[in-house]
Amino acid sequence: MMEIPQQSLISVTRVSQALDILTRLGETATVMAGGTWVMREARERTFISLAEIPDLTDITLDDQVLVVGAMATHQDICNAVIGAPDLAALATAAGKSATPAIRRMATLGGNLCARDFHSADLAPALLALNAKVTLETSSGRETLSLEDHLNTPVDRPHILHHVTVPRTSGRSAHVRLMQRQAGDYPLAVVSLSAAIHPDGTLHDLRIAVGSVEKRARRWHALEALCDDQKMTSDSIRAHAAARASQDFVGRDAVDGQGWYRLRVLPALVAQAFTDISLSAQGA
Amino acid sequence: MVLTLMINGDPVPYHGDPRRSLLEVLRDDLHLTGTKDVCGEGFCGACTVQIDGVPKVACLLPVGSLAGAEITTIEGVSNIETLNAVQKAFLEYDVVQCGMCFPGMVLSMTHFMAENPSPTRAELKSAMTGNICRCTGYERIIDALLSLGSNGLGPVEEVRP
Repeated sequence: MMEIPQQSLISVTRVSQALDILTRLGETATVMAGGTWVMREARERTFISLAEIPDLTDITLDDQVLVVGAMATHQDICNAVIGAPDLAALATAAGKSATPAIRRMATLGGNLCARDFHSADLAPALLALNAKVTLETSSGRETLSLEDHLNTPVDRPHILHHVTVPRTSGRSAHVRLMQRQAGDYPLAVVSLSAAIHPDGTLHDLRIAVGSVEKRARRWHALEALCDDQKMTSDSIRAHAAARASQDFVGRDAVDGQGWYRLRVLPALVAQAFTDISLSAQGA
Repeated sequence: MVLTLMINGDPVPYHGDPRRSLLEVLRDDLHLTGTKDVCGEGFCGACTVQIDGVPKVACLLPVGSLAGAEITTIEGVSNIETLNAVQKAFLEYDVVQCGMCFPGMVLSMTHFMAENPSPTRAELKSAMTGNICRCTGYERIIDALLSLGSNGLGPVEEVRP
């Protein structure tokens, strides 16, 4: 059995090694992906670095599916999906979050698994894109929806291995509001994906909200009101304004008050709708 | 933990906690104080170094993850006698004010200018997102970088360290 040094950084080359160490050390260990969160929040724990596991950085994209390894960085993801209309939300989330240096370090897995980080950009984008996550556990691989993964995380040692996004003929957009133009955490994020008919009717609408609460989540009530309906920027904004305070409890934090995060949501929804409308028109 | 760091072309042995940040090791152990310690959370870019030629923030890099990597700090971005083209431009345009941001700015912009030899003003602003100048001297920094393509401070190849 591998001896585990205390107060250390252990670089593993297989997922099974990481699971073994996680099982033995419990909460005294933490998984390190890009390091941008654990270096700030978990310095007292033993780091289990996944950087040497070969296939975790792989990204494959074809007409049917996008598969992204958990150790792919934001920059890697942006480079891989930019220009695909259905994946535009993901390209924006990966290409506009944080700063250039952080985007070269921060990973998909870290963004989806750092549960104390409330301003993840990839999470709402991938929720809107109906992503599934594949986890490695001691009893084998499990695939579940990202929504389930975020809402009810697996409570035994696991490693997020990759994320799968089905390709569609639809469009998507990711709109984020910050106090300054760049470099801050977003106060609120809206990701929206839909197929849009020339008359403005939306199909397969998915809307996700990030940064407003502690975890990103789908806005099912707004989707139910707007899906398969003919929408305009004004009408979807009005629906969002009517639902926002019923469906969300805004998070108070040093960068913004909860009421403000709710107040801006309708405008962000309208902007996301406008973005996909313009994309569908070829603008 | 014992490992060898490759810093500015020289092997440097390290004995200690591998979770310490590269920033701590550079400044406290090796006295390479050109890498600045400001926010410590990856926002400001003052601690930017290049890892295998790519700018990253040293405050969020555990030193134990850097065995085998080429680490370039501001002390190694050019040789002791000659400034690189970005440094020359910064000198020419007198961009340095308090001095806290510019080592990180040089490391970030040296990489960016090598990748994008003829950037627009907007592209430069976007690329500088992660390097905060508390003196707010951005416009002169951008003017200096734009001059690299126009006033013959040096061919683009010289921008790369």
